[in-house]
Amino acid sequence: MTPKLTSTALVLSLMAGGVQAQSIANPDAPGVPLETHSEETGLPYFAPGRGEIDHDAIRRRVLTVFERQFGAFANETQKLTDAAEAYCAGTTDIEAFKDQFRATWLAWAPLDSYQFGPIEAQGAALTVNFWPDKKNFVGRALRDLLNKTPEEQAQASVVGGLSVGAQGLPAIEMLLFSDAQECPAIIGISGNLHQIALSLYDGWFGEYGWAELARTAGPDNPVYLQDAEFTKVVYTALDFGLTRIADTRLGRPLGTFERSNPTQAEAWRSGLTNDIIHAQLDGIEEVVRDGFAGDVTETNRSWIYKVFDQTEGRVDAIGSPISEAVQDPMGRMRVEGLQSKVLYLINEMDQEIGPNLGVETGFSAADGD
Amino acid sequence: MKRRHFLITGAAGAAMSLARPTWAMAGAPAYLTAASKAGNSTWLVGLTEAGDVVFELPIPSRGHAAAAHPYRAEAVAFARRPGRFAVVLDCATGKEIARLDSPEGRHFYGHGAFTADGKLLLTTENAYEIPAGKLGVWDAEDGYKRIGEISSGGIGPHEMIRLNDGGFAVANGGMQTHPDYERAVLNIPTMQPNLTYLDAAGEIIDQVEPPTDMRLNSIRHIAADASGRVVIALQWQGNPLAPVPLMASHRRGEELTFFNHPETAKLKQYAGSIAISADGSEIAMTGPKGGHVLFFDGVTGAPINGRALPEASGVAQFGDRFAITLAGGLLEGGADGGNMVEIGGGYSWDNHLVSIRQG
Repeated sequence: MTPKLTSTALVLSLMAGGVQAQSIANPDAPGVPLETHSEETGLPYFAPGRGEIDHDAIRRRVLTVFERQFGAFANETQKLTDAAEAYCAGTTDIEAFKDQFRATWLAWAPLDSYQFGPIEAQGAALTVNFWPDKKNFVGRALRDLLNKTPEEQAQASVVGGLSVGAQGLPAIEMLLFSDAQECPAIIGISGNLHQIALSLYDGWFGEYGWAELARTAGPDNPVYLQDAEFTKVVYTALDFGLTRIADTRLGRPLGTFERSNPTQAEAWRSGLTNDIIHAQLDGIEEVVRDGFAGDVTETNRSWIYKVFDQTEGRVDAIGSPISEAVQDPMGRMRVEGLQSKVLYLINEMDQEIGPNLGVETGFSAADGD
Repeated sequence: MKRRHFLITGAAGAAMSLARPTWAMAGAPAYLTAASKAGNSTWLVGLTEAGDVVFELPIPSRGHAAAAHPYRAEAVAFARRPGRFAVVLDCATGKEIARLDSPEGRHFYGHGAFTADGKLLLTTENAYEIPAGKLGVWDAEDGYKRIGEISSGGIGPHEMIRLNDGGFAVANGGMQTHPDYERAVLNIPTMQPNLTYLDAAGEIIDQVEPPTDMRLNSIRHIAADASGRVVIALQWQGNPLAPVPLMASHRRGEELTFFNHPETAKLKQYAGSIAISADGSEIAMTGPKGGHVLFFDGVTGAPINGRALPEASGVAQFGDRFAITLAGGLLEGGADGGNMVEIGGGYSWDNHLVSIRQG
């Protein structure tokens, strides 16, 4: 199933541009109108006076964001396959393919936060992005791929049958930034990534997909007993995404004060590390902005956007790829500064956003193990 | 490290037992369980059969299961996966005896078991960079120093129990995880759980895997009767809409047998803890996600009935029936009903109730 992307994106841009703030009479302060809809997004605020969280609306909006994000990954992997074919046919240069490779990885970045549902069921976390790779699984798997005939290398199904190290973005990166012959293997790897992307999209939005499970929350649902549970899963996923930026994407290359680990930075060969972090932050902010939206009060929302902006500002301020930055004292300080800011953002999410959504982050007997 | 007879350490340490408090000196709890209270404080709690709290000892973060020393009043509280600590507590004095720190590249899975002589503690662990399942070996006679590790026989070892013959059964759930991904399962398309048997010396002596159509049914929590028959609480990792059994049993030399129950769906594809009654007549299996408990005939595995019990978590033997932790206390009974024993203190129980077998 091929996702329909343009229509969704169009609708959202129309909503963002065209809707004015709406207001109703304010029982607590007569004469001061109570705004019910955000001028900025056109989405309703926390329903005034109703005193309950509209989990149904949250789910509907979050799924719209997810559909856009998973759809973007499907689109970019299609373009990546096209770009690989064009480059290997000699009709474009390597830079065009590298640009599309970057766009594809940045489209994956937001999805890294959602390690539940189809990504978990299909094992996509490792097939798309095998990292960390301390034992050079990617290099070893690539050797298997490159030992195959050129015809086989170009086939998505052949790549899909290899170990996960050969299947993902790091495999393409290693081909691009080493002496290996990238063609025609990049055609097969890109094609397989596109199949994975379509399968993830379908796992969410196809018939009997995860979106349907979320929509049918209730006593007979095998996953979500109540509407609120999906809100909690999504909130927890965002928390996971931010934790992963702080602990893994930044923590791994930072290493210890005595010894940094430049080659433990994600995508250090291509230098995309910083952009990936930026894209993941954007993806998380998008869920807060368009998904949680009006169910979070305006003051909390404005504040969290400010902290997102500050965090993204610190990504931009690093000024060099993180793998390089961690190797000099000034650069290291800036990376640590970003890490502190991400941890602060996690804390502010817990203070400002979680309570608005009725999400309890503590112990639950139903967590399981 | 010498693997063969690794766990056989010579005569039992009876002399040592005199020097250290016994379970009777710790108020004679019948059960151990991890619990949390409001504000996320985390505890190891000792309970009597009457539901009295004989001790509550603070632990550094959320616990999962515990292991009780066969005769000394020592309990090991394990962090919930992917935890890196386990705390050994003297349950008579409340003092921490030792803190186990998982080695580099390993984390605990939340369960463990002592050897029958009480000299060694085994812990299920994830060697996540390899990836491989390991059993860490710790010397309970020497300050719980780590002295080595052995293979668990599969990926994702979760609960392990000591069998009556001194050997062990290990539930290798098959689920590959990595701390970078917190609790996400990374290998569902290729996962392959198994039940592994080790002899008292730590040698793998038998393994059984589910058939292809049950490959996604993770073998996570187990219990055994005196004859060595193992019953299994399963966690389905496949399509959540698929109707699958969540209970299985196994006897060495045979295939796994799966048991349907008309109320299985109420467990939300997730069985938590399982126990066989002391007289062998009933099996109880909790579903903490669904707030439901299933009862099966202990001999035939046929379904008896089920009960909606909010937050039903741990289950252990109680006389010829069961004690089940649930919201607000303990339920003592079985398929035909039982008594609710309220326990104050605002505890929220973690998944397991560990029976202390007096040595």
